[in-house]
Amino acid sequence: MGRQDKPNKTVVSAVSGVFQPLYPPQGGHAGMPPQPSSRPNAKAKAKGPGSWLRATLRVTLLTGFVAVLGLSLLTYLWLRELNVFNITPEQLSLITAAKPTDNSLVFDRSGHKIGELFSSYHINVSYEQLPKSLVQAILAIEDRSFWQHQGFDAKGIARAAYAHLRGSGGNQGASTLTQQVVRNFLLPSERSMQRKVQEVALAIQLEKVMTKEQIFTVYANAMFLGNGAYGVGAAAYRYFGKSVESLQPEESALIAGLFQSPSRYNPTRYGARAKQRQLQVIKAMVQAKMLSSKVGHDLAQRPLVYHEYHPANAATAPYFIDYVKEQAAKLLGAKGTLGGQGLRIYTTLDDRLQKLAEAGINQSATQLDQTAQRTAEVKTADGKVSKATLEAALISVDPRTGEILAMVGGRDYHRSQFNRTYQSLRSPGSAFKPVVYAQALQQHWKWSDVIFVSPITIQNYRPHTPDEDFGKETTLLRAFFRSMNTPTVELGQRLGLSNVLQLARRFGMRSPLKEEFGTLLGSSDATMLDMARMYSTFANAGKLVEQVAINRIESSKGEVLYSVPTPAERSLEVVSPQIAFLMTQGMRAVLQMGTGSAAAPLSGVAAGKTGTSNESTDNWFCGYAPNLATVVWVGTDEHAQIYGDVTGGKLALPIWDHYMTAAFKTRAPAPFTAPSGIVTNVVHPRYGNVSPGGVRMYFLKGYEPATDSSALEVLSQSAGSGYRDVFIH
Amino acid sequence: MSLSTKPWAQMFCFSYASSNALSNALRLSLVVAMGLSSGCSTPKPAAKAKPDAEEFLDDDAAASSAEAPLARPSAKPVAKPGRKMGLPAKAAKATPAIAAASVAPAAPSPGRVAGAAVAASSQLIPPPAAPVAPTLSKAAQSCRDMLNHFSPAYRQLFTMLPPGSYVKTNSTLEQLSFADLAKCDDPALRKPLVQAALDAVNTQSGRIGLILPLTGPYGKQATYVVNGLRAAFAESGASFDQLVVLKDSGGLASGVAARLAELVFKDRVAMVIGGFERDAAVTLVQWSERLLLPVVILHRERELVNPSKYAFTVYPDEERLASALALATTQRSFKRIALLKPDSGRADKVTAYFKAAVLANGGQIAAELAYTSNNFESMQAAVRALLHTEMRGREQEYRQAYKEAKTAAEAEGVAFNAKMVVLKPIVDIDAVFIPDDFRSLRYFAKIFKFNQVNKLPLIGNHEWRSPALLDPYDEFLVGSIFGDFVGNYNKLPSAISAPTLASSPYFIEPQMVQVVDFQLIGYRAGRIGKALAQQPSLNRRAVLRAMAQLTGDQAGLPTSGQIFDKDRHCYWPTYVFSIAPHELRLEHALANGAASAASAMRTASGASTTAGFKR
Repeated sequence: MGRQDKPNKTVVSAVSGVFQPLYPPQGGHAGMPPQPSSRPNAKAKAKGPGSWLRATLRVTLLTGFVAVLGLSLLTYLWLRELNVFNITPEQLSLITAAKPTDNSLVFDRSGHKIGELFSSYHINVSYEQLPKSLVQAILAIEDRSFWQHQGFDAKGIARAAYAHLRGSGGNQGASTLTQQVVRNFLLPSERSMQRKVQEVALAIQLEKVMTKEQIFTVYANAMFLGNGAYGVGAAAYRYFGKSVESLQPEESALIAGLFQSPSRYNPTRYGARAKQRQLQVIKAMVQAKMLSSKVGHDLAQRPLVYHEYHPANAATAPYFIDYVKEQAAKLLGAKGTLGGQGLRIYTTLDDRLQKLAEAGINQSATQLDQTAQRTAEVKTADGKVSKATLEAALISVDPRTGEILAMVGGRDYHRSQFNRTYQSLRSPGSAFKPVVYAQALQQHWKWSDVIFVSPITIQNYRPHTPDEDFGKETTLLRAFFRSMNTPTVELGQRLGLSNVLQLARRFGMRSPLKEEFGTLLGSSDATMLDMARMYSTFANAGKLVEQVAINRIESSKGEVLYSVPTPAERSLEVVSPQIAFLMTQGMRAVLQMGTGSAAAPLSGVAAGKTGTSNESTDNWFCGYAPNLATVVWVGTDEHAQIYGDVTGGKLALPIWDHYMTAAFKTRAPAPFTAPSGIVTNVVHPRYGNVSPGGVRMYFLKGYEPATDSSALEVLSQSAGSGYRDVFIH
Repeated sequence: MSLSTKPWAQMFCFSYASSNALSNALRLSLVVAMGLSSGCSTPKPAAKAKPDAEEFLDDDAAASSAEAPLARPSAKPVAKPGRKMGLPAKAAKATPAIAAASVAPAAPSPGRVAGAAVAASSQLIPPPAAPVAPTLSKAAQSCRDMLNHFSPAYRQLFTMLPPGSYVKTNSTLEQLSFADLAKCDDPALRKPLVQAALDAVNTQSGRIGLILPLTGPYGKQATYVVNGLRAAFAESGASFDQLVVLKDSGGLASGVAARLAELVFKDRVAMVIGGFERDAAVTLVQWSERLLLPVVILHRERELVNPSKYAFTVYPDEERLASALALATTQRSFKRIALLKPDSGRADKVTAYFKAAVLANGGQIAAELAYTSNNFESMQAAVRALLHTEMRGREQEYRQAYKEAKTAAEAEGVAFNAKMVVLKPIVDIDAVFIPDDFRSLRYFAKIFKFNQVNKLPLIGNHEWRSPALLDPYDEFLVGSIFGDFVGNYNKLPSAISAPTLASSPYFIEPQMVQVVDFQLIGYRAGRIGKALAQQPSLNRRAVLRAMAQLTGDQAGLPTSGQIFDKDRHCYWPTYVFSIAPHELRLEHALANGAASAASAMRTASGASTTAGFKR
């Protein structure tokens, strides 16, 4: 509020003059009606008709003058009450300093912007960036006399009132752009006379402190134009996929038409209506002589090509950006949204690998869709029964640094923003088994040790293995690369369940693990991030480097708010390099001759493990080279069974294979280097003895098989005559 | 004229009657004697149906040929030389009775017609028309008997010589083979003939014959045996090649005979070692009997040597092993024993021995089941039957268990597998005998555990013994026992190379196991041969005596005293092992044959020994 003015003496005297009594006051108080006087009546001469007329006129004028003064005074008092006579600096700053909230930007590891975080979608533009056609279109439809009026347009108000009385509605609103700005920034949204008066008054004030261009720029940037876009800059991207400077006149006309009612004229929903509105704008431009009729006609004929609307950040690594947003909030301790804080978030994403990851999933689309026909039926949200949709996800990490290089949380972000790489808990199946074998190797078992494959019972738990494996022997390595169940569980029983689970946690399995033997076969749920940690540890010579998606966060002014710790600071030795190497060789055997043999060509540079849960609800492939670890999952969100011969090797492996093969072309795989203390030999895969016709196995020095003969092999060669067949003849 | 009381008349009548009686008696005895000598209508005296062959080897045989108490000419026609006479198949499996039948019967009187003898026997006075052959002296008869025993045998053997393998040298053996028995009748010729025959039979070169199937399906094993023999000879510094004549039978019984012929005629061996296969063993035993030639049979069926006193066995003894196991079982108070054996027949003998021994010790055989080795389903079925976990008879219980298992699977969200439904076992046995290899044993242990039997002692034979018995370790097997023919491999004769595993002296490299087993057999046979070799002065009987008196030291056995029992079976040592946590323990050893409780508690080294087997 402004300072209290002294009452206008002219008004008071005018008022007191107006209410001067007919009878002189006799002892009465001021303002009190005077008492009737005792003086004898003055000449009461009747005048002629002219004097009566003059008197009447005088009274009338005086009365009117007083009324006007009084009304003015009241109006003044009222307006003063509303604080509209001077717009305060604070109010002014709300407008002038108002900038759309600054979006936080997300960059990939090369510094390219890949996304924005915002509560509302703004792109701030300067007046100079605005195309002339857009300025004209807005003014033509919203405030034709913008450049002339002082903040409000009396003619416009009258015109609108007239149109309103006539019921035609009119094509123009009554508010000027200045009024709209004032309304948008300073006034509450309710409709009242009071607000309207305030609006006009403040508009007048605003015009005194801001230039027309400034007012227009604020207007063009601040107004909501539908689909989450605030300002013409955002609207240009949202509707036409281009910067505001690149707008064509017909496009400018469409955007100009949105100011009045962005929902009603949303072109993505109401194309015909939006077109009509555009025509109105063009017509207004012609009427305002901004365009000739011919040009206007041409513009009206030009087709409007809209850019397909996507939720923001859907173009590049949308799942990753969602994840980054969450991680950034955790890192900064921010509550609520980061959008609008103007942060610069530098991430670990490798855009090239990201595209390869998406391509890897897409190239399996046909297979996935066909396989989806074999899923169990599920009830959808609307109560209908249909086949479940088959989803796929991929996460790729640099094991040496823990940096997440690619993340695809699902097949179609538009259909589902659910990020299956870290939000989904799924059963890893046999992909969990490396932990069991790593524990075994730590306890000085070796790949050549023999297990007799037979059904087992552990506290009423009886794991299943295809019958044809019973009654046969296998080495640990063979049991591993063939992903056999009962040997794994038996091994785990010997090692101690708690020992194995403890190691799993050290490997980075953060999801809860059930203390039961079924966990050894992957029945406890885990996230893809959990699995990525485990396999990255194997890839990185036994060291787990904590995963990161963000390298650095800066404020809009460049101040570093967060910087990722070095890999050394984030690493933990889980197993020795020797054990990790032995496990890697075991997993290379999976590719060479095991359940992952469909990707055998990669066995020279990569290692991995398949995983399939019960009823094929989850299908995994987790594999790595020393500098790239990738986990792929395929399944349905409804945990629906998939019938038929479906495994991780059939569904997930092709995606992994495609991705890694392509990735290795640009990111050459680092070689697996044997650490000290490792020896190798060719060993019989079933009997565990050194055998020229066997498979190559690796051992800790001092724990290699010492013998080139095996009783089992001797027995197998006895042609049924038995071992130590002294009585054969 | 009536007989008066005149003394001279009485005397005259008495004399007349007496002379008549005497002449009748003489006549009668003559007839009887002639009847006896005819041999056609009168049965042979049972006590002397066949002359004792050993008597032919008596040193006095030649001397006795000079006496002529009774001559019994030979009637056996002489076979033409040069015609091969292989041992007929029937004779190959001959029993002693059949073998005896191949020997020439006691020579009937030549030229004496049976009918004439019968006719003559009915008359005290021989018919004057029939010529009376001259009777044989005892010496002549002995000569003939001896030649009748040896000559056909050697002659038959001679015909089995492969063409070109032997050059006739008119050796004494050849002469014996084609001896003219008629010469026995001539006193001047008889003695040298008999002496020559005896010399022929008893002459030996001091070398040992060895017939093995070096070619054929058992060539490998036979080679190991030979190597064992070599080791035995080398150990004492003797030359195997000089003292042993090695022959390859080619795996055929006819080959055995042919090689034997070479050994006998050509090499004049003192004894023969062989009989690796059953047919070969039978052949050798039969010839052993005919030739009175000592043989050592390397075969599991000890009873094959029964027909010949000159045949011995040297081989691991299953019956003894089964007895030792049964004793160990008794000592553990295992009463009710189940038998689980493979249906291949390979373990039938040891199972039968074990069963008999258990029963003899007062135990019971609770069940006897068979299965097919390497057939997991079959093995599972056998165990289910043993533990009474089959559905049959327990249908209601099974249905309940099925329902519970299915519910549990659904609750856990896992696939239900009906094969994983297991009924509670009914264990009504103390132990199970499984005479199969270690591999089957390991699977049985697992199958028992899968059927919720966490502990059940098992009993086995030598086929269990393998490093794979203990690695990977299985707690279930602790307390189980098995028997074997080899104890501590480090305590074998140094000539037998048996490199033990670093982890235990009770295990060697699996590929060496069979090698050592057969080498050991060959070694022990070789020690026996070595003990008898280089003694050309010994005749057959002396060789036989020497063999029967061989001691453990001489035979390379961990025992003192004689190594052959009264049935000429070698006392092969038996060892009983028990499985302890992560190790194998030698419970006890039976070095000689006594399976008594007292001797069973003694070990070869005097105490139980253990050997750790740490993975």
